[in-house]
Amino acid sequence: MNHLPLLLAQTAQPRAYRPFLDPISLAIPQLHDWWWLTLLPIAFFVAMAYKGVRLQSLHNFWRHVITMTAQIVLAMIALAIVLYLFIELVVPMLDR
Amino acid sequence: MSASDTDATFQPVAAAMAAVLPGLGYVWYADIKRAIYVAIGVLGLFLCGLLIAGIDAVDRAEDKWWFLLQAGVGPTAFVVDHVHQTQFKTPSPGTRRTMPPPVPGAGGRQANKSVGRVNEAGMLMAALAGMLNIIAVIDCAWHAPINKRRRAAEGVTLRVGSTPAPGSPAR
Repeated sequence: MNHLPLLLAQTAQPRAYRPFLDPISLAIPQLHDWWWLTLLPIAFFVAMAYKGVRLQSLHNFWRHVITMTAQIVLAMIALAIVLYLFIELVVPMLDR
Repeated sequence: MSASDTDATFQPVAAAMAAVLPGLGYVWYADIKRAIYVAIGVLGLFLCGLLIAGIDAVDRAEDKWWFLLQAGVGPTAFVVDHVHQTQFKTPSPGTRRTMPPPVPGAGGRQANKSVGRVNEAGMLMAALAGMLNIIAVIDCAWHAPINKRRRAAEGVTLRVGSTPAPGSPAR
C-alpha cells in the first residue's frame, strides 16, 4: 500500500507531536535510521515479563532479567550476522 | 510456579483476573511482587509500542492479524483500538471502508499514521505484550491453590538448578 501521498500530506501540515498518539519519528526523524535501537526496550520488557512468570523465587530477579536481556540482544546480533553471511555468500553460490 | 506439578489445579478466578489486567492474576495468589513485575513487563512493552508507533500500532480494522496477538493484553488493547477508531483514525489511501465523520471542532486531531520500521517496531512490541500476557494467563490458570503454596513455602524444598542464598533455608 502506497503511503507516500499520506506522508506528504502529513508533512505539509506539521503539527505538534503528541506522545502515544503520533509516531515518535515525528519528534525524532532520525529514528527511522536508528530503528534497531528498539531492540533494547523489547529485550528488557520481554525478559522482565518472562522471568516474572517463570522464576519460582524472585530472589535475584533483576540479575536474571539483565542476563536474559543480554542473551536476547546477543542472539539477535548473531542471527543478523548469520543471515548476512548466508545472503551474501551462500545464496550467490547456489545461484551459479 | 507450583510447589509440585501434582498440586497444580485449574484456577478460573486467577485466570480471569490475569486476562482482565496483566499481572492481576498473581494478586489472587498474594504474590504482589510478581504481579508488579509481570504488569510492568507486559504493559511496559505495550505502552512502548504505542510510544514508538503511535496509536496507529493498534488497529483492528487494517491490521487484524497483528491485533489478534495484541488482544492478548486484554481489554486494554480493545479500549485503545476503540479510541483509535472513533477519535484518531487516519484512513489509509485506497481503503474502501467509510470513515466516521470528523468530530466537530476537533481541529485535525487525527493521529499521524506511522509507516516503515517505526510502525513495524511498535506493532511488534504490542503483539509481544499480548503473547506474554497469554503466558501469564496460562500460568495463573494452572497453579497450586494459595493455601498449598503457602504451606509449601514454609517447608524446605530445593528446586533443581536453583541455588539457595547463603544462610537462608533452601526453597
